[in-house]
Amino acid sequence: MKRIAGFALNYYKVILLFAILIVSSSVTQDPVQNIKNMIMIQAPFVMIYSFGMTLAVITGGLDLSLGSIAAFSTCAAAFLIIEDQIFVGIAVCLLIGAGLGLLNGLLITKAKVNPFIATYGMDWVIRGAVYIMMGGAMIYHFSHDFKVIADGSFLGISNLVYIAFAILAILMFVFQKTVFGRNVYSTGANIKVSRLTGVNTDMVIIIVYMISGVLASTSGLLYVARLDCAEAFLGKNFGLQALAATLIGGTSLKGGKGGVGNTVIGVLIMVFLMNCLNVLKVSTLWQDAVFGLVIVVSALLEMAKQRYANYLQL
Amino acid sequence: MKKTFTVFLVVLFSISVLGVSAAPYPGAVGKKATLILKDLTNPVWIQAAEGAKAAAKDFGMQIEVVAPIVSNNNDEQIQLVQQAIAKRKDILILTPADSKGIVPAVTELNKAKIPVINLNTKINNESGRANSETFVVADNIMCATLCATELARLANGSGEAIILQGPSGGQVTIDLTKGAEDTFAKYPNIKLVDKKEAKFDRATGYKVTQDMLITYPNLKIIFSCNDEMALGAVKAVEEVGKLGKIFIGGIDGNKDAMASIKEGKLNATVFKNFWLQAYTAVEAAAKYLDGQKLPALIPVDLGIVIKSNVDKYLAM
Amino acid sequence: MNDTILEIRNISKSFSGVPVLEDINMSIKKSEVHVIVGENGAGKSTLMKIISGVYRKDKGDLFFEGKPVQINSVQKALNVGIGIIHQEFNLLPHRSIGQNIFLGREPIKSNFLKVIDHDLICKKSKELLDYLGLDIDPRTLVYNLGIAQQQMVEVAKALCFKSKVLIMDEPTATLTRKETVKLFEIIRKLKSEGVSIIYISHRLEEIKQIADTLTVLRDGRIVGDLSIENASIDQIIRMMVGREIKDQYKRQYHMHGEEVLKTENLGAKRFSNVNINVHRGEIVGLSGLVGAGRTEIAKTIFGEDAIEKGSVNIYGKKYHRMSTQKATKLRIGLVPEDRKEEGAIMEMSIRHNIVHAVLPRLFKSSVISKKTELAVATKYMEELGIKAPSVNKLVKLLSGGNQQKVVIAKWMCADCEILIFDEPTRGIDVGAKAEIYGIMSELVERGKAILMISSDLPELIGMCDRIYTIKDGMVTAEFSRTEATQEKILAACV
Repeated sequence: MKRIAGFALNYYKVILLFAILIVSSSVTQDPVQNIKNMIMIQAPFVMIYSFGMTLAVITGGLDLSLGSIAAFSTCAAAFLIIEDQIFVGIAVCLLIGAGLGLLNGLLITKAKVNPFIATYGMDWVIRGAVYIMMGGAMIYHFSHDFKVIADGSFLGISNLVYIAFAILAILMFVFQKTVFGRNVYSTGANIKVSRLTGVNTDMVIIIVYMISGVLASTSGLLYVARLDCAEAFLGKNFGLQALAATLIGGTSLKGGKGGVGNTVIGVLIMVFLMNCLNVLKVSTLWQDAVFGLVIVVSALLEMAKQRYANYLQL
Repeated sequence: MKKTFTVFLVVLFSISVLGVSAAPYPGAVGKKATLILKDLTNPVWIQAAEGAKAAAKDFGMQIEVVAPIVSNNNDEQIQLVQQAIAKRKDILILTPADSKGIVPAVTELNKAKIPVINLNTKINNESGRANSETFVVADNIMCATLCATELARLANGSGEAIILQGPSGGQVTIDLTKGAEDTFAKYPNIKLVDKKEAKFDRATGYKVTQDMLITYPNLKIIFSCNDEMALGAVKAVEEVGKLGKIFIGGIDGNKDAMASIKEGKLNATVFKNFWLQAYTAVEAAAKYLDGQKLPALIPVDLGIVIKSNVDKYLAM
Repeated sequence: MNDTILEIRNISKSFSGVPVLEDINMSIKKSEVHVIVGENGAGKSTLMKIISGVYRKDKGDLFFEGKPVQINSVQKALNVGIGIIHQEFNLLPHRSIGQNIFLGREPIKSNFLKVIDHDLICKKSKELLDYLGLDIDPRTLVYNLGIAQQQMVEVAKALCFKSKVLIMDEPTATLTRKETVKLFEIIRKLKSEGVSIIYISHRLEEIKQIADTLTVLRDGRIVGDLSIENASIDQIIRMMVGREIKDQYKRQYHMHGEEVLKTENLGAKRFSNVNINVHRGEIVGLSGLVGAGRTEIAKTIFGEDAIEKGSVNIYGKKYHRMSTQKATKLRIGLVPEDRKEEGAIMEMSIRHNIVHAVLPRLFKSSVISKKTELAVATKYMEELGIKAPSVNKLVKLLSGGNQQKVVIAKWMCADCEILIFDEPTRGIDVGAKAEIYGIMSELVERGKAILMISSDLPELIGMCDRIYTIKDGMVTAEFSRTEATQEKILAACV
């Protein structure tokens, strides 16, 4: 009994994932296409910007400006991409993402603004800027060469999957195998000890927010390529969705724990669950409530896991 | 030197007088108006602002166009109304974000004896204390009826249909949904199978449509409450190779929606002509200030945009 | 006997096996000021916390007005008539004086709605403040008060409970001379109205002015009760420190090497004009009361606090600005006072903590090899005798002594040349203390330089080659190993 409880608590996310999948597959006529949709198209987008959030959360902060960074950087880049300056456009997009991340990082470390306030405030500022820049216009009808980045596939697998997993692999390597990654975790776990051990904690935090900005721009760019339209509204709910995926994945808001690997699971649970509610023909009105419930329950289960860690010999 | 300057002044003066006398509504010249919109970021409202400014120029009025910073925020709209009262404007054109929520502000306007022209979304006047001179509208129910009828025609009056909605509770969504539902109900072989919220947003429209295509493999009609979601739906449908088998319609008549119609992807949209709506509202204001009597309702022409007529609209 | 208000009989207390108080017997008389003195760690605060219900005693009895009482909570102590004013105040800064005085027992207007009677609070608080000679509006937020005024609010809080015994733990530590005089006036006034005061202090010169009776505590035992007329300061100091220096400090003294650390007129927030130096193979001590500026000096040398004046010279090179990154690169290590918040990351493993400082040097390519990391961590864990089942154990699960060894291991692993130890043995059991002394001795024998801060005088004298005394942010004296005695040091610190 103890063993079963321990197993369930340890692997509840995977169990949940399969449970949702079984339910949704049993009611759809084309489960293969459905799973393909989710894993190859819906999940990669969410994953990429959720990784940015996860990294910020590991340092003990969070990044609510993901969505507006995605919108601003892609809209600015779209002016170039529409003129077929694809590579310049992509470079500009990622640079703007990094630059806005740098701004967040400086606000948090040098001006000592609380990360919530800094990135929430920046979200408004950047969103406002992109509205002004676009003046209500949209940029669409990009060239095939650009759209193929998100539309194309290789060996029957969508490019989005390759991109998301390449990013995942790089992040996993950097954050688990390098000195920088280690310092990110130690800074999140205890910034004071880290500083007193000679870690340049300000630099660590700034770099993390820059990475987060670049990831936001990347996912934004993929959206633009996929939907063939750059617009000022892009990514209005990125920040909160990413936070939800991060929390469901089990990265603690206290910092120093969790990781992008957990967030992959978090994103999959989120995407699978939304899909499941849709295919079960549950009214949209219920979806938000169910979603919130999952966040709260996963937080409770994480706590239970910690509390009974010794008892259940996890 | 002095003489030439005087002559110049006289000429200038007479030109301006002539200009004024050429105005169709002399009573409105130089009057100050405020137009309060729902927001100033969405392209349609930006078109509306431009229409209003063009009309103000034509009729010699001064106009100030404002909108809440947080789009569709009722509290901010109330503050904007109060500012207009404080500035002693001659007339106010109001597009309420919340039909009921705006009532106290309109009551204040009535007390301050500032006339109100209601634009686009009706002010709820059940209490009788929120009076406006006229209602200028491109009616949403009418829009939905036009678009849904076209979709039903394309689908030969049969098949499964879904509606993509904006955030629940919004007046626009409620009206559009009602129009579409009522239209589909007239066709016994059309079955409305689901209504899904997609946040008025393209990415969400895309994702929700993907799920809907799985859930309803025999889907025939997608009615979307705006063009953004409709274009997301087009993308999802295109990816499963069902363009031409599933008929998709949007509302608003955005430029990229029309471009999509021209390519033969999107099937229909309704051009709500926000530019004309605002122009008409300002003209109504000018007429009122000139002492003319206004009808209770001033409808603005709506146009269904389909492949055969899209070039005409694109040229506008 | 009937003028005794509080009697303490055979009270004992130990923390995780380490005895802190042993067989304490004491009696407090009605309307007297009873002063308790003793070194840091002698057990004064523990005793007071037992009397006021913060800690539970292991053994012994308390009698209040001749009747035995069980005090097992702060609330109980207050109800009996014992109030305490802690060194750190328990005030809510964003509430008013009145709200603080009546916190948790606000008078209510009606029993049904439980509406707080703010007018009554205001009126009663005003009376109390008037009594204490304080002309402040009771609606003022505590946030806006000075330290002395905050202390008066604490006194008012205790009076409001009609406390018959009032404990004051180092009340003058943060007060100016003028404020101290004022506090003494109030103490005398309270005394004249029959309140007994238990007064804990380090400041021997004040004691003469205020005390009626004096009890000296040392190592958890009472070493003497004196009436104040017969006591001289010298006598008190001797009683406080009278412990023999045992052989637990295994120091061997050699010739010192070059000077590696020197401060020149160093000044920052809490200290100024500090000139000290440390050579290779030498342990230099900093002695002083809590709050004298010792920790601040250490943190400024290490670059955590900014240098405002003067410079720090490392290996003969002058630095006017320092950061923790620079300090670590210069192979300086700090073992901080607050192990849990500043020393080690509690939520991470022993392995992560040990290699934390050496990471950039150990893995030049920036890629961590788990094998190397494990080998290094295991080596230092064994070398320092850290008792844990594996290097992957979280530090929070270790005992205090082992946690401290992890912090030291971190700096040894980073091959530090200059180590600063701030209270390295505080809260550590006797066995682990000896081990830490052993490690420190070995480090200096290997030619490292150590700057050591400690409130434990025997430890400081036993370990150090030289000792600087600090008072109010200034160096007051320097003693060599042969000159240093506890009496001399204490006299230079107070």
